[in-house]
Amino acid sequence: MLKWLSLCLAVLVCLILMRPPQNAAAAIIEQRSITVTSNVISAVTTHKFQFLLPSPDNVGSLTLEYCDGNPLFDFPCVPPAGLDLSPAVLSSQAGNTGFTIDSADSTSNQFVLTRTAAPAIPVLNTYVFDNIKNPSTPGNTVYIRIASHASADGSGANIDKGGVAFAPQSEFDVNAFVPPFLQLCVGVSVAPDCSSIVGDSIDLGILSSTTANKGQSQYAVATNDLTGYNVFATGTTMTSGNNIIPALALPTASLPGTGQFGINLRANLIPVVGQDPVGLGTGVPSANYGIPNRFLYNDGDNLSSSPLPSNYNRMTVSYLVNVPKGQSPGIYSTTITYIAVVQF
Amino acid sequence: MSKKFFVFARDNRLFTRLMLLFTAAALSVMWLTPVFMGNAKAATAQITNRKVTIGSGQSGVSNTYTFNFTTVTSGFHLDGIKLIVCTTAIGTYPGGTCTKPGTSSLFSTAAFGSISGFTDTTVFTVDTAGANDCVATAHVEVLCLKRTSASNDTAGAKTLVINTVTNPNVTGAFYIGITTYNANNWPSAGAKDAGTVASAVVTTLQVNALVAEVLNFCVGSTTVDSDSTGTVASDCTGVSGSSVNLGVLDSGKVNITPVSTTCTAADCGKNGVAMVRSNAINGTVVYYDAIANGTNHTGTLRVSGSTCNATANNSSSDTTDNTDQCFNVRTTAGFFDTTTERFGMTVAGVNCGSTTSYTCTGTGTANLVRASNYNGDGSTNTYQTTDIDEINGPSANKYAWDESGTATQIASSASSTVKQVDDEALILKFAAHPLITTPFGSYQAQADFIAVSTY
Repeated sequence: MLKWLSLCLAVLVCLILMRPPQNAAAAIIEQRSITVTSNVISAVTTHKFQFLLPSPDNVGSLTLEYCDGNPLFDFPCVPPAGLDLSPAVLSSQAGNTGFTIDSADSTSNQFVLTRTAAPAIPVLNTYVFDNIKNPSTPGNTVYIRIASHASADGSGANIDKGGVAFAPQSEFDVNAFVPPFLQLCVGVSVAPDCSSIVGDSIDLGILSSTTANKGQSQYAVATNDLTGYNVFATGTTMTSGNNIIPALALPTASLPGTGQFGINLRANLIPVVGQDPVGLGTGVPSANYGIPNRFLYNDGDNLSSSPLPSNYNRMTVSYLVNVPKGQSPGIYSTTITYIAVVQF
Repeated sequence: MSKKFFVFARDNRLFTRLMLLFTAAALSVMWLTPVFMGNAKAATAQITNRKVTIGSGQSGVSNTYTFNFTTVTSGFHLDGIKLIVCTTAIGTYPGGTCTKPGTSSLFSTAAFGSISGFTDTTVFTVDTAGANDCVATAHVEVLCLKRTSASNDTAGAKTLVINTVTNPNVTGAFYIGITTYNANNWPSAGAKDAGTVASAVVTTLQVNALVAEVLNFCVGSTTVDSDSTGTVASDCTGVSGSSVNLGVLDSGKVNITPVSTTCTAADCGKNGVAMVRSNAINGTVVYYDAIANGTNHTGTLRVSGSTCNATANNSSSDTTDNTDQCFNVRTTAGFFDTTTERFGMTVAGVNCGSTTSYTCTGTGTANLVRASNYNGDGSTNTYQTTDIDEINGPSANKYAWDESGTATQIASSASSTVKQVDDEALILKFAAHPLITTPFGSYQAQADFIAVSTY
C-alpha cells in the first residue's frame, strides 16, 4: 500500500513539474476597457470591448469571461447573478477581425470568439455585443477576463490576457413635485399678475334712456392645470325689487333707449369702455364675449378660458346698461360672481 | 618508550642507521621546501582587516568591487598589485592552484577606479598582459595593476576600487587574493603583503506579485455638501440610496439639492454622489445617460408616462414649451433663475474625504476632473455653498442636462497626471425651476451612471 502511495505521489509530482506554465508567459492586454450602453442592473444592453493584443502570435480565438469580484485567471470564476450572454450577438468588430461567436463553447457568462488562426496585429480592437442582459446585483463589480488563444475554441494556453470591469447600478432618480396652482383675482382694477386688487363695486350712475351707461371691472387668472381653466360669471341681471333691466342673451350692439344689460371682455368704441385682454397667458375671451361693441349676459356663461396651463391673463369686463324711457325708477343692482374652474 | 626499545636500538645497528638517514632526509625537506616553492609565502606578510564589497551579488553582472585592507609592510615602493579570483581561498595564495569560478569574463574588462590610503597617490593602471607572478593574458581571473610611485609606502589601511568587474556566472562563494609588490612587474621576490577576501554570487530572489484590476463604482445619495468637509463613506460599501428629492417646486424659487425646506421624504436633504475607486493606468471616465420615459423629451425631469410637446430643446436658449409635463433642459451649462423653466445637474465638487492613497483635499487636487458643462460655477474649483435648498436665484453654479439618453461625460482622470482614483466622490447637485405654467404633478428624472476604466 505504501509503495502505491509513493508511486502515485511521484507521478503527481512529475505531472506538476511537467505542467506547462499556461499563464506565466502570457502578456498583458493593453488599453483594455469595457463600455456599457446601460449600466442599469438587469438591463438588456450593449457591451463594447476595446483592447490591444501585444503579442504577434497566431490568434484563433478570444475568450471573454464574466466573473464576480475577481479578474485573476488563477481563481475560479463565479458567474455574476442575473447575467445572460446567451441571446447576445456580435454586432460589430474592428482591428483584428473575422471573429464569430463560438456557440458551442460559449456559455451564459463567457463569450468564445473564433476565427481561422491568424497573427494578431497590434491595433486597438473593438468588439460590440448587443442584447446582453446585465447582472442583477447593484454595485457589484463584474470583471471580464479577456484572453487570446491559438486554438479555435478558447482552449489552451493564454497568449495575452487581461481584465476589465464594470459595476452595474440601480437607476438613479431625481424626484420633484410641482403643486397645483390656480390664481384668480377680481376687482375694479387688478394687477396683471394679481399682485394688487382695488375695489369691489361699480357705480354706473344715473341710468339714461338717451346714452349708454357703462362701467368696467377686471379679473386675472393663471393656472398650471394641464387642461387649463374656465372662468364663469354667475348672477342675475340688474334688478330693483321686481323691476329688471333685461339681459342681452346674444351679442348685441348698444342701443340706448332700450332695456339692455350685457358685458364683454374687449375694448369697445360704442360706448367707449373696456380693454382688450393683456398678459403672457393663453387665456382668451369666449366667442360671444370677445366681440368688440357687442354685449350679452347669461347667468353661468363661460367668459374666458385657456385649454392649457396658462400664465396670467387680465380680462377687463365692460358693463353696458341701457334703459327705455319708461324704466321704473329705483336703485338697480346686481352681484356677479366670477368663478375659475380647473380640473386638476 | 619502553626499556626494550632502547635495548633493541642499541643492539641493532641497521635500525640505528635507518633512523639517522630518515632524520637527515626530513630535515633536508624542511629546509629546502621554501627554496623549491619560491619563498614568497614565507616572505609575504598577512594583509589584515581585509574585505571586498561588491556592487551586486547577481550572477554575471558587471559591477564595482571595493577592496578595503590594511598592509603591514612599510618602506618600499608599492608599484604592483595582483588580484586573482578563485573558487577556493588556498587557490589565491601565491603559488596556489587557482580554478576560476564559472565562465564569465571576470577581470577581463575591469578598469581601475580609485585608491585611497596609499602613501603615494599615483594611480594604478591595468596591465592586460602582466608578467612574472601576475600573468593576465588568457587568465580572466587575474588582474594586474601597476604604477611607478615616487615614494615608499607606509603600512596602513587602504582602499582600492575596481570598476566593471563581471561577477562569476555561477552561484556560490568565490575568493580574491590580493598581493602587493615592490615593482610594477610583479616579481616573485618582490611580493610584500598578501591576503584573501571572499564574496559570493547568490541566486536572485525573484518576488512575483500580481495586482488585479480594481473598479469600485457606486452611485447614491449623501448629506455631504462640501468637497473638503465631511466624508461621504469610507468606500463604496458605505454609499446608499438611489434617489434625491428636489422637494416642492415653486415658480418663485430655484430648488437646488440638498432641499429640506419643502421636502420631508427620505431622499430629501441629500445630494447625489458617484464614488470611484480604480487602479486603471489609463484613467477612468464617468458618464451619465438619461433613461427614457414617455413620449417626447423622454429623458428630462418629467411626469412619468406623459406625452410632452415635440418642440426640440435648444442648447443655447430655452424653448417656449413651458406648459407640458417635461422640464426644459440645456446641454450647455447655465445659471438658473426664476424666469425660465429648467432642470439640470452639476458636479459641485470632488470630495476626497476617504482618499488615502495620495494627497487630495478637494476638487482642485482630485484626480477626477469635471467636464466643462458639469464643473460647478464653470470657472473655479470653488465649492459654491450658496446653491442649497431654495434660493431666489440666480444660482452660483451652472447646471446642464442631456435628455437624449446619450452617454455624457461628467468627469475623467484620463488626462490627469495620476490617473488612478482612490474613492473620489463626485458631489452631484440637481436644480430645477418651474414656471407658473409648469403643470402640477410628481416629476422624476432617471439617470444611469457609468464608469469606464481603461487598464
